Amino acid sequence: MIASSRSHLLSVLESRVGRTHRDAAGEERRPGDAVPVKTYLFEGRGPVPPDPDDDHGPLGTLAEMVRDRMLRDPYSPRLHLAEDPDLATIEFACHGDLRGFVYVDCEDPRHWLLHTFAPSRAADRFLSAFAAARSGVGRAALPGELLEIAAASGSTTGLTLGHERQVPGSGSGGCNSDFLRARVWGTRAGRLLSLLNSPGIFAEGLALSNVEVRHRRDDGQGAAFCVDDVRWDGRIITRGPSLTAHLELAAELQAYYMRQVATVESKYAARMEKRADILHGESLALHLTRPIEDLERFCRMVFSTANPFLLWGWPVMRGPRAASVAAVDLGFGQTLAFEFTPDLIRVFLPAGTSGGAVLRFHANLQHRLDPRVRLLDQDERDVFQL
Amino acid sequence: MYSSYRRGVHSLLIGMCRGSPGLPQTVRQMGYRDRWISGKALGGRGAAAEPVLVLASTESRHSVFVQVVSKEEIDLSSLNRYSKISAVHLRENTPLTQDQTELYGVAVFGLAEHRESLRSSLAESRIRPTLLLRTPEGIVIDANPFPKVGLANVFRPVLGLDWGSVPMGWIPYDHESFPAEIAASVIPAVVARAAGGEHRVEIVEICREHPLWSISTGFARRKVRGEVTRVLADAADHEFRDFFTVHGEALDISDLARATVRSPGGPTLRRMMRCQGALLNRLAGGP
Repeated sequence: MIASSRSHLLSVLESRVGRTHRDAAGEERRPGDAVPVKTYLFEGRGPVPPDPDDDHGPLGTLAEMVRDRMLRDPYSPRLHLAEDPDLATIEFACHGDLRGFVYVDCEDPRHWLLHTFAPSRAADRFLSAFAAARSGVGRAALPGELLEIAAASGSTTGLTLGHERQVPGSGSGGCNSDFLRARVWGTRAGRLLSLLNSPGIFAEGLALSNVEVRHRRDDGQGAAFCVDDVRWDGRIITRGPSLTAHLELAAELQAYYMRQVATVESKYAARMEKRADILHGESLALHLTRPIEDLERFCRMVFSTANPFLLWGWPVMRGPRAASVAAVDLGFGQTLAFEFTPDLIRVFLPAGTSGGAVLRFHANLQHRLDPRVRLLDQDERDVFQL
Repeated sequence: MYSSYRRGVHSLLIGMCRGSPGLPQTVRQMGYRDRWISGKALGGRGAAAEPVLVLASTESRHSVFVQVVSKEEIDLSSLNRYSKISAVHLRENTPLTQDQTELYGVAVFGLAEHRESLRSSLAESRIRPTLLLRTPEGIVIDANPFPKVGLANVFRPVLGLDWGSVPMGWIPYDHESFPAEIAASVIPAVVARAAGGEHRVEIVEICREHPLWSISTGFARRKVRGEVTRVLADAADHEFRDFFTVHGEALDISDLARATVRSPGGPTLRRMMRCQGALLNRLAGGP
């Protein structure tokens, strides 16, 4: 269904959330009712700072994207603009004759919220192509710290720990790999989350993949709530019953994400202030608790150009214990530089590169190398001010 | 070789002023911060007008002008210009404050193998700069220690360094950089533009991304632009011939390159990355 306005979108989503909840409560079921509403956090950015000559804005970007061959050929997408100047519907070929709809809310021109009730697999596939269709448009990744924020915004009713570590060992010993996937439901899931973070418990750490949270709307009434599943890849699935509570949680997370991105860009990006001839940009480093055994092979794994890191770059070995890489974040199509030592990774962010690239790298490291990795500034304070 | 000594010293000092992990924190704790001032403010012209790195501390009421010399001898005019400069001149013509210019001096960073010739050169200069030398172990003060004992002690008996792990990312390259050092930084800039769907790139646009570009003189900008153009043309003639071509001051990105960067994990994108490895290896004089 095409959203003609913001209020129309709300009523479309509201009715869908209502049907999903009814279905979950065991009431009458109709085909498609069980597919929940999903909200994706996206970065749909232009240059940093925004280009003053960009007169067509995010909707112009969307129009270009749907014309792109990567989307056009497999999905035959159509863009429908709403009455509101910052809202559009993208209709796409979902499965056979079935059409899916993605509602793009660009109220913030850089950080978008995309809503859909297309089946997860179809939606994910389409949105992967959507992100690839344009440099600078990509899914937001939420490091564990941000998932804990989501958990703290309500009562945690479930969590998934997902960790897949594949680190090349030293010599020709192949990969050291370990993985864990565990899902816990129940009102005491939040207690388990605090326990897992306690010092001494799981010394190697466990990466948080998603949290299921019962979020209560902050309206003083306390009646409206939603049960949402927040994933580290920026997807929030709601099981209702309150759409308003879901949208409030999504907006809250988006605001946290935006704040972290803005902090990284304003404090840590290297740029020259011409008037005072001062090179701005503070030190940004990822402190590892699990040292990298074979730097060269580790770098080749990270800079393979493939998912999940999406980084292009050739590691230059500066000795047995140091490597540097001038890289391109293929998701955002921007450059950044890394320096690796066995227990420290320095990140150098040029002016104009999205801070989202740092957040994504950090989140990927949590899941692929070291769940306890910390992003610290020069005074060893956490960069994420949550 | 990938990195010039000049860039190594600048990166080391910037890293120490910014408290980069893995480096001694004393310099930062004494309040020293890295500042750049135009060489023109010191009366320099041409190459001597290049921005000069200064370690300036309000707390220690002291500033150090940094000169890096990788040759056997130092150009005395680059030192003697400091003899004509007063604290008032610095306050009026540079961003340095009254506190930071209460006491100021020059530090020459050279190589241990040039010790004797550098000492002889400095003996002829009108000022008495601190001489610091790079040894296999790190950096030592060889002559005229800093008047601030705390700062001098950082280099006594030696500032032990693993040069391989000194943070180098603050300044990606400079006008004295080796071709491999420039290629390591500018080729990713071309790849990023391919990802953005660009067909043609003016090479000067890539140069403008350099953090010191805005305060560099016309002389250094021309030199940097020339070096970057040379490196890109070389890459286009060899390893990257399928991906871009260089025509004068501009670079044309091929359709293949633009399509390739949109297929993460694809074989051509991985080949493009291996091309970067081969280029860096060749420019660094590898086998």
